[in-house]
Amino acid sequence: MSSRNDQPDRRPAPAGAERRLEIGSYDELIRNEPEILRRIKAMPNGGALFLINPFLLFEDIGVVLSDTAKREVLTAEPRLAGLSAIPYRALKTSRSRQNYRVNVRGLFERRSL
Amino acid sequence: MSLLAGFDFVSEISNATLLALIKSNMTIGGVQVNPPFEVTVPFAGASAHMIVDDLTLDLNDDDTMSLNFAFSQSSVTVQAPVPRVICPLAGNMSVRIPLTLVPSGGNTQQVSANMGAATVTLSMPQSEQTITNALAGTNITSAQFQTMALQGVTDFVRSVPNVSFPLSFNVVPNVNGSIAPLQFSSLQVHCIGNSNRSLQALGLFGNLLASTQNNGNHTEKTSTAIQAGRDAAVSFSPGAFHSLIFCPAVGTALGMGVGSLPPSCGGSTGGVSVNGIKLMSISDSFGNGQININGSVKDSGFCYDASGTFSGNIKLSVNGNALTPSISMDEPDVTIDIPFLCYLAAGVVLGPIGVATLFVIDHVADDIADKIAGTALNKALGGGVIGAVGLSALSGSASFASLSITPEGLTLQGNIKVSVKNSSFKKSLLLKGSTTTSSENIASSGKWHTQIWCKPAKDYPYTEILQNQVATYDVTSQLMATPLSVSYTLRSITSPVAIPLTGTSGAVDIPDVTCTYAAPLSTGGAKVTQSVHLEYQLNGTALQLRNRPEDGNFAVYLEATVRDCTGAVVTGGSSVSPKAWVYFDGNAVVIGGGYEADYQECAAQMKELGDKIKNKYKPEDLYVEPWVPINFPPEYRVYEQIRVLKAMGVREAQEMILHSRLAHGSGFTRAFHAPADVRTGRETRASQEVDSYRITETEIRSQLVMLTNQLLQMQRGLVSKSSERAPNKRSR
Repeated sequence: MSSRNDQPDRRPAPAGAERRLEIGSYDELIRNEPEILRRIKAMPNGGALFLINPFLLFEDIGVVLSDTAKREVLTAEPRLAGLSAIPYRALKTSRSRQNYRVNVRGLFERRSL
Repeated sequence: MSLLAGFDFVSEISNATLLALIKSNMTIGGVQVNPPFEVTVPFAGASAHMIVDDLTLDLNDDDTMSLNFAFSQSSVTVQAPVPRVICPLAGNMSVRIPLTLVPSGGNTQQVSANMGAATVTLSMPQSEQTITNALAGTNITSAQFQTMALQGVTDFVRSVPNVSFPLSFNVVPNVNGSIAPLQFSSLQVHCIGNSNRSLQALGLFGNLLASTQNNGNHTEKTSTAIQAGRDAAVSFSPGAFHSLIFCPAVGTALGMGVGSLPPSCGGSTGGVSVNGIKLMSISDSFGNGQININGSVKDSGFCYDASGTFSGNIKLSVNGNALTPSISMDEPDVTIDIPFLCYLAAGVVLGPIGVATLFVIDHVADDIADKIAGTALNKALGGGVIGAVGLSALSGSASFASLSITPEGLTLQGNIKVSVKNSSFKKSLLLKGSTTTSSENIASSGKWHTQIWCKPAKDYPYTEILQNQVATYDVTSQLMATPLSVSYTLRSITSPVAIPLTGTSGAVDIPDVTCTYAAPLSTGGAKVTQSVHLEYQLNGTALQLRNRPEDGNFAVYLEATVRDCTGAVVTGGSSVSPKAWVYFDGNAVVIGGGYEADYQECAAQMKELGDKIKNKYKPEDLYVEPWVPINFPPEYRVYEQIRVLKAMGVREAQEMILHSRLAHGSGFTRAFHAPADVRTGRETRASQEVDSYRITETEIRSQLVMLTNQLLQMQRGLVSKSSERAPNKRSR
């Protein structure tokens, strides 16, 4: 996954949405984990969307990763490189009840970078 | 209405099927109650002869069955105080019999009709005048007579042994039963009544579990589940299905006992492993048209904990003669807990839980279908029925028709073919009897010099015998209004004038009777047309005729005129034929010195020769009879033998004719004196063998034409053979 610059998106959050949470590094992401988990839980099918594409989910719940943070996340979770936006958007826009739910209790496995 | 009335299991048998079982299993007075039939009912000072034309069955709400016998042409003979015959009687006799389950050895209980507790009603409204007229001049009133008759038939019916139906079941109280083999914890038999017989049924109300042993109230089942056109229905409650079919099926699918299964079948609350997941619970319920299955699963891995629920349903359809399950399965509903981004969790979501749960349901569905089809219905009507009528759930006499499932129960509809043979009774009147030798005297004896063609000439000792014979004949009847009265006439074969036998004894001379004698032996005997003298004696309907030996061997035609109890002459079709040919053999010869053995040997050689010739021209012929063993053969076979020997046209064959006459003795004379239809075999073959072998008269005629043609061929062949052998014969 690529990003256009190394700086977090500073645009204000849309009206009614969570305030934007700018994350500059992997460590900062972990420090904000409780808030991010709360936002994921509040998002319809948030756990499942997290499994499908965490980066797009972060965008949708107002968590803005800097390029550095993204790079560090990819280093910690190399398998995140193969993500797609298509299933993510399909689930996000689906009006149907999903027959599985994912409760996310942590963002990424703790490991040293 | 209630399908199961609170019981685990109800098996229902239609009125029509039960009636068929009764017709094929029940006897009264040694007679199968399969109309039409007749039975003699003895009672004090009288006896009744009852001809039953029809039998219907009612299954009553008070758990009795009513057998309704419609009778006609029946009679009662009263001996005292004044002898009277009351006839003809017609009406209806209804026998109401309690149905119960009785022990029949071991833990088996069998459906039985308690004949000792039967009540009888007798209705003869159309015979009132007949009864009144017959009892005129006695001090017995019609009402008294009917009371006496009712008491008589009641006593008779109650003396009949209890009727056990081939409906037997294993019942062991206080323990859980089973489907295979079918074992109840409790069982009751009740009738499901209705004013419409086609909606009546016999119900077996059972519980299969110890915990449900006292459940059920049969009065809550007010109508049968048997659909129109079906013979039986078997219903299971959801509870019985759960305990005895569903849970064992799950156990079979998972390869473990029911107790080791998770709830709702067993107590393993920690779940059991199925293909890498844990089945935490599984349950069943009946929906409309389907069996619903629900359950829960758990799964856990390095970075996830998953729990889910699944639901599906099984539908069972009758396909040909098999029960076919089909499965519908929803995607499991799964909740996954992950401590962090865990790709293994996605793998769980995308497949394994669904695969594992479907595996269980798939196996359960097959096992359920097998248990219901292969075992449940098979045994549902009792092992006895299976043995009695060849019932098998998937083949033979019973077949599935349909299956329905409602929240109240699962019901199988079936058809059962109960084999009820046609009644062995038919309206018939026959004159039957036989002739026996009462005494004999030697008329002459000596030695007879002769040669049978394949043996050297020799002397055979012989003895001519005069035989005093007695012919005893009587009428036998079925489905006739008795008592019968008979008058007889006699005539010769050629004369149309019948001579009546009047009074109870006397003697008659029958003119123009063809008689034969055994001597002279060298010509095969003599023939004389003369009057024959017969003495007769009548005893009731039985007739005895005695010959005069010097009249030789002859046959006369005996005919009976039979009147029923009303005095009307009995007439009818071919089965009403009170006439017979009566044979007398007053003159016989016994030839010793191995004559019969020599004859048989030569006849056998001639047959062998004939067969060789015959096979040369045509491999098959049914009626070539050059050799008929000497053992009182039917007349037509002797006659056919003579015909063939004559047709052969060679001297040896003609000589064999003479010897055949002597060797067969009375067998030959009877053939000779027999009417044309007997001699040609038309009477015997047409009425008996033809019926058996389904040979039409046309076929017989065509075969006789073939035979004639073949005989011509044989004649040419035998003449040729005879010419070749001529030098040897001359030298002998």
